[in-house]
Amino acid sequence: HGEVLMLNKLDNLSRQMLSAVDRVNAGRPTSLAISDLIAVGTAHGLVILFDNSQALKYCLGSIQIGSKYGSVTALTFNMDATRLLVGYAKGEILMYDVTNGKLLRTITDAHPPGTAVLHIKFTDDPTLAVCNDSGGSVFELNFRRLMGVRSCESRCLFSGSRGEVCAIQTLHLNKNIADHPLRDRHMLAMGTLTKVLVVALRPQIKIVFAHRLSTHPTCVPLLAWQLTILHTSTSRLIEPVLLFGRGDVLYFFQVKCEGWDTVNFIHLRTMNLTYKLINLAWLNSKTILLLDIRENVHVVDVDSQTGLQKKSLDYVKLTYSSSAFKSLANGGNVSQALAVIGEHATYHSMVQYNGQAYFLGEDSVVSAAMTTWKQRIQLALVHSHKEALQLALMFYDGKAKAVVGLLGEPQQQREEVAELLLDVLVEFVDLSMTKLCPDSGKLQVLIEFYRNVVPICVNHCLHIGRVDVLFGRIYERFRVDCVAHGAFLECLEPYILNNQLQSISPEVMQDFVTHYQAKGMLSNVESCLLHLDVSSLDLHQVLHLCWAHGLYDAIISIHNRSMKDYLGPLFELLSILEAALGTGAPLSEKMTNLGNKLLVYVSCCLAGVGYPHGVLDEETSTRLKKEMFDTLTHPSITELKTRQPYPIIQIFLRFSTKEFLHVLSLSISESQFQGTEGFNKVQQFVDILLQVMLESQGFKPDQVGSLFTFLARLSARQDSNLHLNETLKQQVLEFLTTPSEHATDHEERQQVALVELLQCGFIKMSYTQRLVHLAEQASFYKVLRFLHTQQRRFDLVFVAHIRDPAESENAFAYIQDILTNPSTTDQEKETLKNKVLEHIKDLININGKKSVNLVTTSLQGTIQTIAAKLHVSWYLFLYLESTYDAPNPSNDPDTCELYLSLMCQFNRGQVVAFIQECEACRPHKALEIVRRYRVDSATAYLLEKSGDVSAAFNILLSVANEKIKLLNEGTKRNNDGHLHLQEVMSSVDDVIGLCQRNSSKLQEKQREKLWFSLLDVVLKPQYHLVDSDDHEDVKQLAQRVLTSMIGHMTLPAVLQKIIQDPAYRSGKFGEIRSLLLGMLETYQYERTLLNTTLQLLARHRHTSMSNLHRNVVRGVSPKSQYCLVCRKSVLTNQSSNNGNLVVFSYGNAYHESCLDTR
Amino acid sequence: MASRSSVARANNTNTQGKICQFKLVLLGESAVGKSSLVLRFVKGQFHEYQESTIGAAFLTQTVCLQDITVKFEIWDTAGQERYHSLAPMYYRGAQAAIVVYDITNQDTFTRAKTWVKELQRQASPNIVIALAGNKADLSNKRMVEHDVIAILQEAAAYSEENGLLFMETSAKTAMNVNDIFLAIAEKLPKNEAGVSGNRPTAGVGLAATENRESSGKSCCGS
Repeated sequence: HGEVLMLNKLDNLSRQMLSAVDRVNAGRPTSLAISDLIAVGTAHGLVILFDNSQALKYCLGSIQIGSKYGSVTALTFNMDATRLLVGYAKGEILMYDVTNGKLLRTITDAHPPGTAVLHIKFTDDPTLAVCNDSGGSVFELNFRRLMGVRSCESRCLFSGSRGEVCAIQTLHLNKNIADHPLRDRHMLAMGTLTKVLVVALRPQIKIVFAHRLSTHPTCVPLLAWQLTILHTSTSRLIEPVLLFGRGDVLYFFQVKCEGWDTVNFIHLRTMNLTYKLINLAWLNSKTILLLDIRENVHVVDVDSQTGLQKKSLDYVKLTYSSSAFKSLANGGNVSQALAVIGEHATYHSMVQYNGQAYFLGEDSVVSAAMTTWKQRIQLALVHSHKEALQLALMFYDGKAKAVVGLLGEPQQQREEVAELLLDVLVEFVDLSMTKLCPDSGKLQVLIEFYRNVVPICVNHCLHIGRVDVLFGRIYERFRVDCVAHGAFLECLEPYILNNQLQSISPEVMQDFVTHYQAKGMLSNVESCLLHLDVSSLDLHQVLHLCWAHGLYDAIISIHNRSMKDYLGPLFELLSILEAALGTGAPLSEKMTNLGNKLLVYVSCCLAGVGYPHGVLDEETSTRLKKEMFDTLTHPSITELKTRQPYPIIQIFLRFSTKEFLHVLSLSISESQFQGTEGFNKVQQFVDILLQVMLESQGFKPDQVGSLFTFLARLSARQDSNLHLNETLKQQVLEFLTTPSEHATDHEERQQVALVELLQCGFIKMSYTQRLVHLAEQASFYKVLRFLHTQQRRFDLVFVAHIRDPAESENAFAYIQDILTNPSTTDQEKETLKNKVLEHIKDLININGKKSVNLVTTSLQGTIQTIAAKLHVSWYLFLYLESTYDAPNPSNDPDTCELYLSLMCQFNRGQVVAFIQECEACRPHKALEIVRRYRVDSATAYLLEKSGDVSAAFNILLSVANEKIKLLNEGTKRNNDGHLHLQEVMSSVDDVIGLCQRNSSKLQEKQREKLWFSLLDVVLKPQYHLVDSDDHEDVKQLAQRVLTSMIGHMTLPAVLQKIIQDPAYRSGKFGEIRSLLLGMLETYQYERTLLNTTLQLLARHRHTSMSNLHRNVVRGVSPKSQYCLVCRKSVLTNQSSNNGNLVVFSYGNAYHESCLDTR
Repeated sequence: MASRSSVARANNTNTQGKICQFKLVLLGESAVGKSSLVLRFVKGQFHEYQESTIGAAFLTQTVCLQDITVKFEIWDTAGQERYHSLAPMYYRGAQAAIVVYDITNQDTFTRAKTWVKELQRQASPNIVIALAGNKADLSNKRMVEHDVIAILQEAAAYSEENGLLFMETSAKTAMNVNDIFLAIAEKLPKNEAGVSGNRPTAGVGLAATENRESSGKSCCGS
C-alpha cells in the first residue's frame, strides 16, 4: 500500500512549548486541544496558545493558578475558536476569550468538589458545554450573560454512581450544514466502563442509543464521530457514523434520522483487531487511525478492514493523563476501575481535527496526516520504481485503499494517474538505461537485464492503453542503445503472438523486421506478421523480405488482408511451383512445403475462411468461395505459363494427386456443394478431373488410381447421382481390385471405397461373381465378407474372417451372431457349423478358450467328437488345455486321462500340479499313464497318495541319486556345477519332504531304513571328492539331511550311523566335528526349549492355582438379606436349617437347603 | 533525489521544442517518381533505376520550422493498379497528401486528378493536398514543348481551383523537393489532434519539494 501515513513534528510549536516550559516553569504538557488554534495545557496550570502558523499567541493562566487549581486536565475550543474552556485537576473550570486572552468565567461549582475534570467539550451551541469528572458523572454547563454578568448553570446529566463515564464526545456538525435534523439536538456520546450511551441534549434529554462494551480491565472506552456524506441522485445526505470500542473490538454505527424526531442507529460492522487500543481517530470516512497499547499507530481501511500501515510512535513520548484519572490532586478518591484504566488514558494527547490526528508528546507535538496518492507514489519511488509502478496501477484500477487527493470522475482520475504512471515508467526506463544497468559482465547479462525491463514497460502501457507512449517516448530511449533496442524488439514478439499488440507504430515495425532479418529469425517474423495489423506494415520492406526468403504464409496473409487479393498470391506462388515441377527433378522440401500450403490455402478459400486462421465477413467469404471455384474450373489462366487446359488443377494434380483429391473431397462436403446447384459444380469438377487426368500424358497409374478411388467414394455418397459411363465404372473396379505393390493404407482405402460402392449399388449384381474372384485374388477380405453376406453365404463369410489377420478374433462373435440371429435358416446354420468344425484347428490356433466356449455353447459338440476330428494330438492338447483352464472343467475320467497323457507328452512340468488338482482321474489309470511316460515326480506323488511310501521313496531316491551322480561328473568336468547343485538340492528336498511327511506313520524300523538310505545316498559322494569346495557343498547336503532327520530319529541312532559310516570312520575327528557340534547345538537348543516350556507351564500352573485360591478365600457379601428361594431372612432362619448359606459372586444368597430343594 | 531531477529534465525536453507528427501519403500513377521524391527528401539520394514499390513503403523525416519540429510519417504507396485497393488504408487518417504526376505524361496528370477527387471525397476533410509535377528536369528535353506547358497551365489552374499546393519538382535535381514538404508543413495546423509529444505533463510534479512545507501549514487547518 505504500506509505499511507505521514508523521510530521510541528517543530516551531514544539520548540516554543519547550522554551515556555523552561521560561515560566509551566511544567510538562498534559493536554492538547486543536481547532483553528492550538492549545497546550501544562502540569503547572498554564495553557499555551498557538495560532495556525505555530506562532505563540498567548500564555493563559499562571503558576499561581496552577498551584491553586492543579494541572490542566481538559481543554476545549468552541466551534469558531473564540472561547476556550480549561478544566483543572482540582475541579475548577475556566473560560477564556482567546481573541484577547481575557478570562471570562471561573466556574467552581459545576460539579462536586474533590473530583478532577476528565473531559470538557463544547457543543455546537456556544452556550452549552459538557464536562465529565473523575467521579464518573457528566454535567451540562449552560453559560448565561445577564446584564453584563456572566454566569454558568450546571445540571447533572449522568451520575457516576450508575457506572462511571470516562469518555465523552460531542457530535459537531459543520457550520454549513444548516438544516440537518440533528443540528439542534446536540448529540453526546458517553462511554462508561461497560457500555456506550448516546444522549440527545435538546430539546429535552433523551437516551437514543445504548450498546454494551466488551470488558478489558486495562483498556479505556473510546469514541469518535465522523460525518459521512452520501450523494444521492436528488440530494446530499449527511449521516454521522459513531465509532466506539474498547480493547480489541470496534463497532461502527450509522445514525439515521427519520423525520425530525426519530433517530436510529444502524450497525455497520464490527471489527476485531489483533492488538489492544488506547485511542482512535478518523482520518476520513473510509480510513481510521488506531493507537495501540504499545504506542504503534495503525492506519486501517474501514471497508476492507485491512491494516494499511503501522508506525511506531515511540519517539514521540506520548503523555498520559493518568494523574487526572486517579485524581491524585484530590487525594485519589476514585474507584479502583477508573484508576486502573487511567494508566492508559490518552484522551488529551491524541486529538483529531480536520482529517488529521495530533499527538502530544513530552516535548513535541506531532501531526499524522494521510499522504496523497502522488506523495505515496513518490515515497514508493524511494524504494524502487517497480513498487511505485505497482502502486500507480492500483490507483489506476481503483483498487488502492485510503486514496487521498484523487478527485473527479473515475475517467478523469484514471487519466491523471496514467500520466504520472507514464512519467514514472519513463524515468524507470531512463534509469535502467543508465544507472541500473549492469556496467560489466557478459553481453548476455545485459540482454537479460533488458529482457526484464521491457515487459514491465509493455505491460504497463498495455494496461493503461497508452501504446503510443510505449512506441514514442519509451521506444526512443531504448533505441539509443543497440543492445537495448534489440532486446526491446524481441520482447514484443510474445505480445504480438498473443494478439495483445496488434498495431505497432510503423517505425517500430520497420525496425522490428530489420532486426529479425538481421538475426535471421525469419520464421518468428512470419508468425508475427500473421498477427499484426497490415496498415502499420511497411509492405515494401515486408514483402521484399517474404519473397526473398519464401515466407509464403505471410505473403498470402498480407495480400489477403491488405488488398483483399486472394487470387494474386495464388497465381504467383503457383507459377513458382509450376517452375519447380517443370524441371522434372524431385521437389525440394521448400517446394513441397509450398505446395502443401497452397493446397491448404485453396481449401480455406473454398470453405470461405481466412488463411492461415481467422474468419472472414459474410460477404467476402461468399465472394471468395465463388471466385476460387471459378478460378479452379477456368480452362486457362493468363497469369500462368502453362498452356494446358485447367492449369491450376493440372499443377496441383502433378504436385500431389492424392493430397489434392483429399482436399477436394473435404471441400465438397461443404454446404456450397450440396443441393442440385452444388451437385452441378461437383460434376463440373469431376469432368475436369477426368479430362485432365485421362486425356493428358504423364500421370502415373497410382495417381490415376487415386482419382478412381476419389470418384468411387464420391459416387458412393448418399445423395450423389454422379454421371459416369459404364466403361469408366469397369475401369474403376478393375483398378480398385488390383492390389497395389506399396502402401497398405492405400489398399485399405481401396477396400473402403469398394465397400462403399457396393453399399450404394454402384456395382451391378451381375458383376458380383467376377468381383468375388478379383477380391479373393487381392485378399480383400472386407470386400469378400460384404459380398458373401449379401448372398447369405455365412460359411464363406466365416472363412473370410479367419483368413483376415485383422479380423480373425471377431470370427467367434460373428458365428455367435449368426447362430443366434432368428433370421438365419436351419440349413444355413448347419452349413456354418460344418464349416466351423472343418476349420476348428484354425480357430484353436486363433484363440483356444474362445473356441472351446464356442464348441460347448453354440455347437453342443462333445469333446469326443472334437477329439475325433482332431487327429493331431497337439491341437487336441491345446483344445483340452483350454477346456481345463475354463472355470468348470469336465469331470469325465476318460477325457481327463486323455489330457493327462497328452500333458505328459507336451508339458511335463505341469503334470504334478494337474494331478494334485484333478480329482476326476482314476488313480491306477493315472499311475499307469505317468509310469508309461516316466514322469517321476508325478509317479512318486501318486504312489505316496496310494500309501506305497517305500515305492515312492525309492523312485525319488533314485532320482536324487541320479542327480548326485551327475553332479559328480559335472564337477569333474567343471562346468555349471552350481546349477546342478541346486537341482540336487531340490530333489533331495523332495525326498526329505516325503520322509518327513511319512515318518509319523511309520514304524521305527521303517523310518530308520528310509532316512538312513537317504543319508547313505548323500554321504556316498564324499568318498570320491577331493576338491574341498565341492566337499563343502556335499557336506552341506548331508548337514541338511541330518538336521531334518532330527526329531524323527533318535540322536544316538544317528550318531551311531555316522560313526559307522565309512566317510567318517576312517577320517579324523575333525571331519565329524562340525556334525557333532551341530548335534550338540541342537541338543542345547532343545534343552533350553524344554526348560523354558517347563517354566512356562509351572508359571501357568501357579497363576491358575493362585487364582483358584483367591476365589476360594474371597469374602462375598449377599446383596439382600433374604434367600431368593424361600424369601426368608438368611439370618433368622438359620436355626431351622442346617445353617449353611450359599452366596454367589454376584451377590445372590440362598439357603443351601433351599437350593437343594430347587 | 536523482530520480526526481531526471524526470524533471525529461519533462523539460518535452515542453521545450514542440514536436508535431503528421501522416503524409504519396499517391499517383506508377513510375511518376513518388519513391524518388521521398528518397530525395528523406535521404537526399537519387537512383536512376528505382525499383518499383510493392504495396507501400514507410519512411520518416523531420523538418524544423521556426519553433516547431514537424515529423513526417510518409507512406509511399505503390502506383501499380493492383495496389490501388491499398490506398484508402493509407490516406484514411492522413493529414497531408502529395499527388504526383509526370509532367511529360498527360495520362498521369489525368490519373492525379482522379486521386485528388478521391481524396476530397474519402479522406479527412482537413487534409492538405499538394500536387507535384515531377520530372521537371525533363521539361526541355524529350517532350514537345507545347504539351508540357499545356499540362503545367492546366495543373496550375486545377490547383488554384481546388485549393491545392502546387509545385513542379525534380527528384533528380532536387528542385522544389524540400520546398514542397516545407510548404505542406507550414500549411498544416499545429495544435490539433495528431499532434503528439505535447500531452499535458504539467502538474504531475514528481519533484515534490514542497511536501514538508505544505503539511506544516495544513496542520493548523486553514
